Amino acid sequence: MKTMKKTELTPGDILDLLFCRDPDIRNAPGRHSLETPACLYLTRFSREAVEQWTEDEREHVRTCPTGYCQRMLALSWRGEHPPLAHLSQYARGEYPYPAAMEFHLEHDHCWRCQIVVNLLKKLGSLAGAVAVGHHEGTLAPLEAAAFAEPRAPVYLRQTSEDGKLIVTVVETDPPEHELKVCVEAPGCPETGGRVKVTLAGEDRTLEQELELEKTESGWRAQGSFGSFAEAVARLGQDWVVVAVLVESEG
Amino acid sequence: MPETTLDRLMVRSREAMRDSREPSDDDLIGRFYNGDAEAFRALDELYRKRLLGYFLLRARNFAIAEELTQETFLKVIKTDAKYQPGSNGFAAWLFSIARGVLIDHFRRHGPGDAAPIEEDTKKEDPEHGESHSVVIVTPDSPVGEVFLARELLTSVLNQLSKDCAAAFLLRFYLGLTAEEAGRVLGKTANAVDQSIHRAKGDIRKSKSFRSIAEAFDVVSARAVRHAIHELLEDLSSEANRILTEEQRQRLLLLIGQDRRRGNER
Repeated sequence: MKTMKKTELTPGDILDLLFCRDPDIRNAPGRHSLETPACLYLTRFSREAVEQWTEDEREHVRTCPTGYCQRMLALSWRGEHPPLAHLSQYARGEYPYPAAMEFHLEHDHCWRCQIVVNLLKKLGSLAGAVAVGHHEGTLAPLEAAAFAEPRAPVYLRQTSEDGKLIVTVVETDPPEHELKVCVEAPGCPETGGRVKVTLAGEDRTLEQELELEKTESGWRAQGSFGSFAEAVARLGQDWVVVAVLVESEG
Repeated sequence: MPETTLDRLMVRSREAMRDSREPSDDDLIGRFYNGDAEAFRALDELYRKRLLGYFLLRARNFAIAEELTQETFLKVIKTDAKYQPGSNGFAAWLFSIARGVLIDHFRRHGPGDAAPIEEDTKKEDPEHGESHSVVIVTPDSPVGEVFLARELLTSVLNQLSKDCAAAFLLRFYLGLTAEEAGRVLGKTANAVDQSIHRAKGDIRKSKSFRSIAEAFDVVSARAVRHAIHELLEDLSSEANRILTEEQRQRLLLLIGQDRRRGNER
């Protein structure tokens, strides 16, 4: 029986020819050039795995001679962020993997985490629960709705990881049309406390310190950042809200 | 996001190379989702160099390409939207993640940290050395590069005699050495060089080549070789048009050897 020999070149053939001959790829090592045999494998950098690192793994990441492991930890945060507990630890100078955090804050320019860290550093040991929300998207004035696609009013609600603090940012209806913030603090101690609320755009920051009041439904506070149009003009379209529960001293 | 030709070809090429007895990508990712970390290592081995190549072509910096490769794997590990076996194929899904990683990289750092495209110092001496490899592309526009590389591929090869076009295609578009091109064409390496020399003369005389050349900055052939990866379909059809059946068979033999060497590594 006659066998048919393949003679037509396919794009796949060309691809293989080019890839096999690219010296950078041909000579590339089978793993990252900073990775040592002792380094943690990629699957150990998922969020769940990080929380379950063994003592040996934690020690290696802390002292990894090439810095590979802390770099991978930082890369695992891209597209999301480190857990707030890690940011708090870092702000207190107690984070065991500072190179990873510095990479995230500085090399990856994560301004959201920079704001949180700076705020926590400023508040020091007074900082309690932290809630961080992120607003993205166009904020055209509502009056433009007649000519453009109407947009939903701003409503951003965020609960802290420990559930002790809930912050809500809302755009009120005209004619007031303000940017308001409401805080609920189920975690507030009986002695009372304050909540430091920061709205931070890439360039400008708006701050409010709210005294919590005990109501029938728990500890609450609210404040206004003034005219919505003015606040948004300062913050831009992409901003974060950071609320930190500050327990009363003594 | 739409799949690029390159992504589709990577999938096809991988599938063609894989032994049917090996576990499929779907098997491996399924096992990983069920807690088998070793299955992920197998996927890592299968796709690492391809991802690295993908990023290297675009970011043009090895350290960045390595980092983006790791980031892509990390996203596969943690992604909330898990791969659904049997959908468009694991490779297509993987490369759609890679494309997102690359876009984020350029958003974060801009295209500025792509390795600068080096000046080709030999361009002043067209009769010697690597002058033939001076090609023209817009320095930081992949679209421009692809457009131009395609223009050059079709317009240049069409103007050359079949003999010269074959030598030119093998040497400069497919990266073969003069000896290898000679083996494919059934010629000596010297004869290949002579064909190239004639081809260069014809290209320099070409009006259309000059008009393209004047429109863009001159950069090294390396940049164009990167753009060429986007032109695989054009290249294969040009190769099928220009090369004889016997020459194609010899080229396929060479590709087979490359693949085997690649697999051994």
